[in-house]
Amino acid sequence: MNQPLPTLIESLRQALIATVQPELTSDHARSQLAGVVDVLAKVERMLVWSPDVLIEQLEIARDGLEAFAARTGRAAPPAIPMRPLRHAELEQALREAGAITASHADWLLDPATKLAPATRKELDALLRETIRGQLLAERRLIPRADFGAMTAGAQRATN
Amino acid sequence: MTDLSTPPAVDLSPQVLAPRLSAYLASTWGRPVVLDAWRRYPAGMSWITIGFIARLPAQGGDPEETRDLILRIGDPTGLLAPYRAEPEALVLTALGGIAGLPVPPVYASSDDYGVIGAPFLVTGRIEGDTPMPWKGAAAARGEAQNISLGNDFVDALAAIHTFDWHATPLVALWRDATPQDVARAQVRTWSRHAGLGTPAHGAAWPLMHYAMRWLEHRAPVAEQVTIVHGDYRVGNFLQKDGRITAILDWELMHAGDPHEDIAWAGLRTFSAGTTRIGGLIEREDFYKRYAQRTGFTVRPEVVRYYEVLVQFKMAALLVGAMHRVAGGAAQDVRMAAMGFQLAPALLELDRLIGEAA
Repeated sequence: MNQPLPTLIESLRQALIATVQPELTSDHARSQLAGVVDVLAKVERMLVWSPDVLIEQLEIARDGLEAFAARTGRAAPPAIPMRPLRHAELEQALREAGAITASHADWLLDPATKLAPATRKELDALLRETIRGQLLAERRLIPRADFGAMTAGAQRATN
Repeated sequence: MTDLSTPPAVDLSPQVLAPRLSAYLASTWGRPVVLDAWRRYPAGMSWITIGFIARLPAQGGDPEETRDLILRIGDPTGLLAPYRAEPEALVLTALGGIAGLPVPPVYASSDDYGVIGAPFLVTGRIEGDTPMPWKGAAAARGEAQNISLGNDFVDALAAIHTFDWHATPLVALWRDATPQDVARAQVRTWSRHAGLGTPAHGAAWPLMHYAMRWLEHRAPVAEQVTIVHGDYRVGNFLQKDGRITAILDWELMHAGDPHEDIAWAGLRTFSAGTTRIGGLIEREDFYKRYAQRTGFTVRPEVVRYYEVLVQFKMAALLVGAMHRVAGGAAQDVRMAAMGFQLAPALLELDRLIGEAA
């Protein structure tokens, strides 16, 4: 996940305090909101994203980029240390792999790069499959957003 | 990347907003005015939308008047901040009165932060409700309304795209737009919004970086450079009894290739779970009617390019929302929800690149 949990939760608290609290009209609603804001402040320091998806994404990136490097001689992915990694280290390793992937895209999509059409197509498929695999790993964890509920009330005249 | 330093919030309480706005409107209209009946709408995720009533007492030869109005505020913490109201005011004024293209009348606008704390636009309130693009909405509306709304939807877009903006003040905004560069200009705009550039910038979202390069290298030359609404879709118009009463939300309008609006309107996200454009009208019927109204040929290969570009734009909007949350600049909790949609949006971008390649 690219959204740091502490800033995400802090933004939820600030939105509730700044834009919801002033519009509440009952003491009960205000007390409930105060409870929600308080709980959010507590869990903000206790929660971390599950490292499982980062590890899975890193493994997909490593496999794909190693195959790309073997075909082209271009940069290989950074080695993954054989010890349990802290969350920040996982994120950093994933960003390094992402930068290499982006660099490969620059090279592959540059018309000045001389490649046989079949080779270009094969490398393109490999690169996109590597990216797609990481996205699929992330999407598995994300329930569908209900933007309908978030814009409810829009059914009356506005412009 | 867009400046994300935390700006001061706008005070939206009527006791603060009303005197500021009424003083400005009284000066602009040359008449005293009293404002009341404030109501904030949840529609949209960018500008703040507030309804209110302006009462103008009789003065001189002018009779007493009541105006039912909408105030749109370019929230300094909003999704696309910093905002400007003037371009939207210019385009709505220029397009006012065109047959088949209903737009709200503009009563006032200002980009001076000293007036209410943010750029704003005051327009007339138009009767109607907002059909939404979410799944199941098309079936709930019924076939007769889908057909009439679909036809109006095409006709209004055709009216936008055939309007000669060169003969209006809009030319001052868009004099640099050329057929050779309009596609790349959009790629630059949304790459900047997402903070893309070098491979290091694209490290967090390699597919965005890939798509940026893909779009740069394949940008088509536009056959026409027209007004492009920029957010033309179900959800951004009002309807009454199955007829469109106003086209709304012009904040992303620019000079560009009309295929861009066609691609955006046709995104899966806005199809209400159907194969139709906006859940309203089959793609072939849309293209056919649009070609009849405009005299333009819809080129499927160009539509496919722009489908990639507008999905890239969609993903850039989500990245922008994440940046605002991470930077502490977001006051709309829905921006946090938007960030979670990035992976699905990028997978759709990947699919569209595959179709267009």
